[in-house]
Amino acid sequence: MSETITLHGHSVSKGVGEGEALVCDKPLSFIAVGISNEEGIVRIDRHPLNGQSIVGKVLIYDTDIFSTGGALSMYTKKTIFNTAPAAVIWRKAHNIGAGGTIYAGIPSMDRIEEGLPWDLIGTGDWVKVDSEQGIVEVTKKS
Amino acid sequence: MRLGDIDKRRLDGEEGPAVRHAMEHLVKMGEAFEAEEMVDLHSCHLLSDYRTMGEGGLQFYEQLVEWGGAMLVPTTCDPMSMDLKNMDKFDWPEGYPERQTRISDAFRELGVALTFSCTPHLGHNVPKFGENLAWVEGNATGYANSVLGARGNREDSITAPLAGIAGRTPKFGLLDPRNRVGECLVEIDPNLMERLGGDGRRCADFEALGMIIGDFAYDRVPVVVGLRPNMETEELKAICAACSPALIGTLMLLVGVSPEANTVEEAFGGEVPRDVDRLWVDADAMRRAYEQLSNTAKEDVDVVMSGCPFKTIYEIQEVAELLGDNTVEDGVKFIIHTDRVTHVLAEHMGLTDRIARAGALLTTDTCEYCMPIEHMYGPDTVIAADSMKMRRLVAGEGKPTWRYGTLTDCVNAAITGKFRPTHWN
Repeated sequence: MSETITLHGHSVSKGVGEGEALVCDKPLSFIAVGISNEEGIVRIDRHPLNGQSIVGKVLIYDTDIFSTGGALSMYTKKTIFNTAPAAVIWRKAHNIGAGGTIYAGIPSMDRIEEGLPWDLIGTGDWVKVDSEQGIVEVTKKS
Repeated sequence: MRLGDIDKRRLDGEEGPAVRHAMEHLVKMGEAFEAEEMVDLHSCHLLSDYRTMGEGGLQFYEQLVEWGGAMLVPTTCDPMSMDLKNMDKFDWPEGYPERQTRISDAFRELGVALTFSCTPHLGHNVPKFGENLAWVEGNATGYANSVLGARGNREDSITAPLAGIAGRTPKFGLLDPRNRVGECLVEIDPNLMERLGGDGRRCADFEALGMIIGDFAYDRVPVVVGLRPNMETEELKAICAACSPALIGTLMLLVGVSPEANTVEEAFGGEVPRDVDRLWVDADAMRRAYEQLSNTAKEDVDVVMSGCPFKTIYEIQEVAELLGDNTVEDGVKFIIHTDRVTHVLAEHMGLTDRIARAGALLTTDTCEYCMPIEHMYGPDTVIAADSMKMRRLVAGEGKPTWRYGTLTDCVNAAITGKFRPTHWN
C-alpha cells in the first residue's frame, strides 16, 4: 500500500480535482509564450519544468510571475484546448493564478499549513485537491 | 467581505447581466484574498493581444459585449499582436488579423480607449495619488504605484475588465495602505549611481537595475535608497519594467521619488527594522546583471529591438540621432516599438521617416512579446536588445537567443551586424 497523507490549506478557487503532481519551487507563468495554449508544454528560459506537460496535472509552484495575461491564457487552455491542469497549489496565490483558476473553474489552494508544498508533495505523487473543504490528499508514488 | 448596498444591487442583477457576472467573480476574488470590503475603482487597463489570450479570451470579451457590458471608469488597453500600419513587414499566421480585429471591435463596444499602449501612465490614463486601479500591465502599474502613489495590484487579465464593468473592486494587496510599507532594503552605491544612465544608456542601465532590485525583493516591497534626485521619466519607466519579469508585486518605495517614501523611515512605516534584509548594489552587480541577460555569445545578430516598455517621443529622437546618416546592415532587422499616439507625433516630427531612411522600422501598437514570435523568428535567431523585460519574457526552448546591451551598442549592432558591447562588459 502506498502512503497517503492529508494536508490542510487555504482555498482560492473552490472545487475538487485530482491528478499526478508536477512540482517545482519556482514561480511560473501560464502565458502562451511560456506554456503554449495548444499543447500545455513548459518552455521558459532556465525553468525547472521545461519540457514538461501541465495537462491534467496537479500543478505546484511558488506563485505567478510574468504577464497578467496568464489568467486569460489559463482560461483558453481550459475552455478551448483542454490543456489546463486539474488543480493548482501555490505557496502564495497571486492575482493572476487566482483570477485565472477562479474564472476557469480550476480548483486551487495556497498556504498549506503543514509546510511548503514542494517539501510535502513530489512529482508523480497522486494528489486530490478538495478546495471546498480546504483539504489535499497525497498518495505518495510507490 | 462586507458588501455595500451598491454591491448588493449590482450582484442582484439590477444593473444587467454583465455587471452581475462581473460582481460574482469579484466577490470570489475578494474572498480568496480575504478582502474586508469592496471599494470604488477609478481606472482600468486591459489585455489586448490575441497571441496571449487566445480564442478563450476573444470569446470572453465578446460575451461581455453580448451581455451589454460597458466600462464604468476610464479604460485604456495594452499592445496587440499586430502592427496594422506595417502589415507587410512581418509574417503573420493565418487568421490573426481577423481575430485581433474582433478584439478591437469588442473594445469599441465596451467603451475602451483604443490606445494599445503599455505606457498608459505616460499618456491617456494618468492616475492620481490614492486612486484604485485594475491594470494588467506590470510596468505601468509599477510606475503608477511607485511614482504616482496610485494603488494597484498586478491585476489579472480577467479580473481587470470585470472590475471596470462593475466599477468596484475588492480591497486587498496594494489597494490596502497597510500593505504599502517596506519589507526589505536596497542601497545603491553612489559610485554606481553616478555611472548609470545618460544618452544611449538609460533604458538598459535602469532596466537592469530594476531587475537587480526585483530579483532580490521578489514578493516583498523593496525600499530603494541612493537614486539621484530628479530622476527622468524614462529612467523611472525603465526601473518599473521590473514589475513582472522580476518583482512579483508592483510597488517599489523609491526614497525621494515615491510620494509615500520621502524618507527611508517613512517608507518602512516609522523606523527601519534593525534586522531588515539588505542588498548593496554596486558596479559588480551591474556587470553581472548585463552578463546574465545575454544568453548567447554569438556576435552576429539578426534582429535588434528597442522599446519595451514602449519608447517615449524623446527616446525615439535619441534613436534617430544615434542612427545619424548610417544605414542598417543588409539582412538585419532593427525594430523600435511605440504606441499609435506617439507614432503620429513621431511622423509629424519627421522621426519615422528618418528612422525608415536608415532602414529601421518604428512600429505601432505591438512588440515581440505580443507578436507570435516563434512563427516569425526561429530558435537560431539572435536578437540584441536594451530591454531586460523583453529579454526575460521571450526566452526558452524554441525561441530566439539574446544579447543585452545599451541602446548605443544596439544601434551599432544594427549598423554593423555585429554586437560588440562597450558598456558594463
